[in-house]
Amino acid sequence: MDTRPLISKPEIICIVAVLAAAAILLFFWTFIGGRLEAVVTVDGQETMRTTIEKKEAKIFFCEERPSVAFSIGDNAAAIIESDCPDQICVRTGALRFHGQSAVCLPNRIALRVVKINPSAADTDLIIGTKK
Amino acid sequence: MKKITLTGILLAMTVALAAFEHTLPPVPFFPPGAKLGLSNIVVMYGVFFCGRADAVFLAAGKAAFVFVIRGTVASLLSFCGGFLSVGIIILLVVIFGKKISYIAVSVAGALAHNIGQLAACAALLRTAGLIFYLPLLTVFGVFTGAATGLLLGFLCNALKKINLHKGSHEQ
Repeated sequence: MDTRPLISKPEIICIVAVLAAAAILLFFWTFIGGRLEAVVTVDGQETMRTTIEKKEAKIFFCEERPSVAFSIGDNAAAIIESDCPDQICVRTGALRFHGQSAVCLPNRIALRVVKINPSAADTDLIIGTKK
Repeated sequence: MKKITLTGILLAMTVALAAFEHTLPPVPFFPPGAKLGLSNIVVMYGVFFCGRADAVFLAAGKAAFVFVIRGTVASLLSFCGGFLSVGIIILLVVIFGKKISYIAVSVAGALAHNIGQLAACAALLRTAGLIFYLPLLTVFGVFTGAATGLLLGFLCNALKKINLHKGSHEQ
């Protein structure tokens, strides 16, 4: 018969280290500020990219999959309707932080929330250009 | 008990636990799709007591069952997660033998399951951005893995008393 310990000290240290690494990554990816945009990909192809506004949320439909509806705005993005059987994408709810995503595998649709690339989007005004 | 009988019972339990877990409502604050992985307890038990080939068979059988009740996509995810998980568990048991604990094996198996599924998901959607989901899944994987490992430990200690494998060598 197989006998082994339930847990040992070096293993606890390893597990806590993995947990800490994951928590630190999660923190940096999620909570360090910047404006966000919502990106929709269908079958791996990006079909829509829009800044998430603070204003009231608007409903968007996906041209390739009209049965899937998104709500984007009010500092969040979400898949609010889909014809898929499991509804995992709808139950994911509102995405508010960088890196969060709602995925509908039956429809091959992913909605991701990402930080707007600061070098491209944080520029308010360009005064003159280098020659 | 004959080994083939035991493997059959274990496969039935894997499938029943997977189906049971699928019917549970989503838990608030859990990442979508995250589950406890109760059927992995049976797969790990298979690695320890039935042999490695049987454990791989259990993972394959579970993926085949998921194909029947939930379709291609879910089955592919179960297949990728299940095989990576059982592979890592076998590797750890081969390297560390009886020194590695139930909980450590279980946590490693749960993390491997998550990584396998996420990789399959990213490949299906051709969206590398899903990697952002990995830290969150890792945090949950550690907790669910520890929970199932604890259950596995209790289960193995209880089952020692009834010695299921009595007579298996005579067959």
